[in-house]
Amino acid sequence: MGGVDENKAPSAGAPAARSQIRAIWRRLLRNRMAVMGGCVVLFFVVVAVFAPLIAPYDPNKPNFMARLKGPMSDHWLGTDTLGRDMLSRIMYGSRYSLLAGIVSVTIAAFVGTLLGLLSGYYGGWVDMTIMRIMDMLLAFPGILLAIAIISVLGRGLFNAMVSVGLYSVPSFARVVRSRVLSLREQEFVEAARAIGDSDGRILFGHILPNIMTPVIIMSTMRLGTTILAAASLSFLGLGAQPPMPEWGAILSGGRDVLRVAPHIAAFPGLAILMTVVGFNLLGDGVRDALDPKLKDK
Amino acid sequence: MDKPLLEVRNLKTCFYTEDGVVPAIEDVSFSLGKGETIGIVGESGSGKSVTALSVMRLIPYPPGKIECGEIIFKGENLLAKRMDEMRRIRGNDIAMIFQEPMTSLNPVLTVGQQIAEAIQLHQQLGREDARDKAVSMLKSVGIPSPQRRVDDYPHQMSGGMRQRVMIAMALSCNPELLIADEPTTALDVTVQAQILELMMALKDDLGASVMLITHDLGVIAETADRVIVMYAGKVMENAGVKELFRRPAHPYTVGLLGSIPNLDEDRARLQSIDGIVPSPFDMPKGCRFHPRCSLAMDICRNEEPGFVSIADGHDVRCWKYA
Repeated sequence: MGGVDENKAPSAGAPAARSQIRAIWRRLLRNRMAVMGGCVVLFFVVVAVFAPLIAPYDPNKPNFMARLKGPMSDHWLGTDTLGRDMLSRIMYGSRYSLLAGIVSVTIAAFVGTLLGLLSGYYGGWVDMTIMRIMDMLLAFPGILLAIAIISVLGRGLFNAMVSVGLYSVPSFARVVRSRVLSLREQEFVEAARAIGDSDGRILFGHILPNIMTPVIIMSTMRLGTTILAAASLSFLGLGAQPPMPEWGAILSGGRDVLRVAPHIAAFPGLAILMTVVGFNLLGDGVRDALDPKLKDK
Repeated sequence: MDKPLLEVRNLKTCFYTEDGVVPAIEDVSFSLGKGETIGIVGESGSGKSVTALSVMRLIPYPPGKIECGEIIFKGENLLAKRMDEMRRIRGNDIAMIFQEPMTSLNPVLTVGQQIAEAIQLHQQLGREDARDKAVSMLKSVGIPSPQRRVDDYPHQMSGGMRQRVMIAMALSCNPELLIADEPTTALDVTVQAQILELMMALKDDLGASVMLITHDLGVIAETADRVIVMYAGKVMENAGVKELFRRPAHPYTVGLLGSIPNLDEDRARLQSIDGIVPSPFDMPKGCRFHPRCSLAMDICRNEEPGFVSIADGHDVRCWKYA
């Protein structure tokens, strides 16, 4: 349950009503798929946090006596080409993969929300400029854009996070902009102006709190995608570099021995799959719980 | 009479649309003394709200623009003010109450936060003090257990209570002028009376002046000292409230008063004014009311009437009196 809590935390900081939070929480718990997704996410979060304590081996210590071993009692998930324990590597890998997801979504949410706010509120040439740039970014297939950005920034896990974050910016910007467009016509914005509020205060004090819900929903739903994208970049050798046990990188290492030791590619793949599905289920649940149209009166 | 608090002279506000420039209000002049209440009446689209927003300088630009005129508030022309100077005036010296209490409060902020915001903007008060002030404002607008209600979100309140919150917000900085844009239109009749009573009582306490915009002549009769009747963006008649109800001069005013149902008479049908307010794109030549006026003469169709004073403080824009 706490895993769901992890991801609900931003809404506590958001101005959603404190009394409402309990109702949203209840709605979320009633959604079985969301709870399942939440449990999976929680599982990986716990593993990531306690990896050094629970991992049976050093993830980077080779053991040439036990290379390419399949799952067995000493190594539950087998060993890789250098005889490193797969279980330990995947446990440590959850740290990098979750971090990649969180960092890139944070970048995307922050930049995208800011651009969407400015674009929607000021309109005119500001809107025109920002949205045409967003359109240009959207015109690229996501991963291709990320590769292009990495080719400028250079390879590495952090740069992969930045590039995945940047290519997610347009989706946030567009959602936020469309919400701002309808919000800025609302009477309470005029009322805020009538008490002497400045543009900045209206934007960040009145409009921003009103778009936190879609931003939270988008962020949760987007986490799965960004984890997958970051792993893909590592798989292509553009993100995490060996010996870093990032899931995409581990998977990539298993590529050459796919026929001899399929478990090396399979287990990190399974981990990616489970996290992505977990975040997606949770994201759907969060959306349903926060969607005002489904709110019980 | 001493110097008026607010004096509007020849105000003209236009909207620049794709189909051309549309004057929403033209040649609007009136003055409002300290502690006085002026009622602005007219049908939808007659320019009442544009007049109010122009005084606040809240006409969205583009497409709207105040073309000419003067708005003298406490001896200073508001139209010559910079935007940051206007922001200091808004909410502090001139406050506004809107028509829709359901949408004029921010749904994700507590009512306390919203009242406190106005207070903190204009008075040097800390968070705690602003909150205390918000509680006392809620109390003064008659909200029960304000200590608890201050943390309520707008959706936890009824329409009448929200309008009370709006009033609390508007009056929190002791404004000298309160603009109320159809404050009771969205409320049901019993609540309307309470809200009006409350507004007028608080206004008397503060010694504020009120600009009350409404299409409800009953509201005007109960609250206003002076009335201006607007039609198609122009002031048609300007009179003291008693004078207006006793001796309405403009055929439009006569029609408006005639269309109020009277409980003493047993009439099957309500009287109405035929036709609709002309589109600003297609203003009739001459007097703007002539197509709907039963007394229209030839001159009405060709030349626009000016103001005629028919009694002390009673002006009317009609050829009948020229």
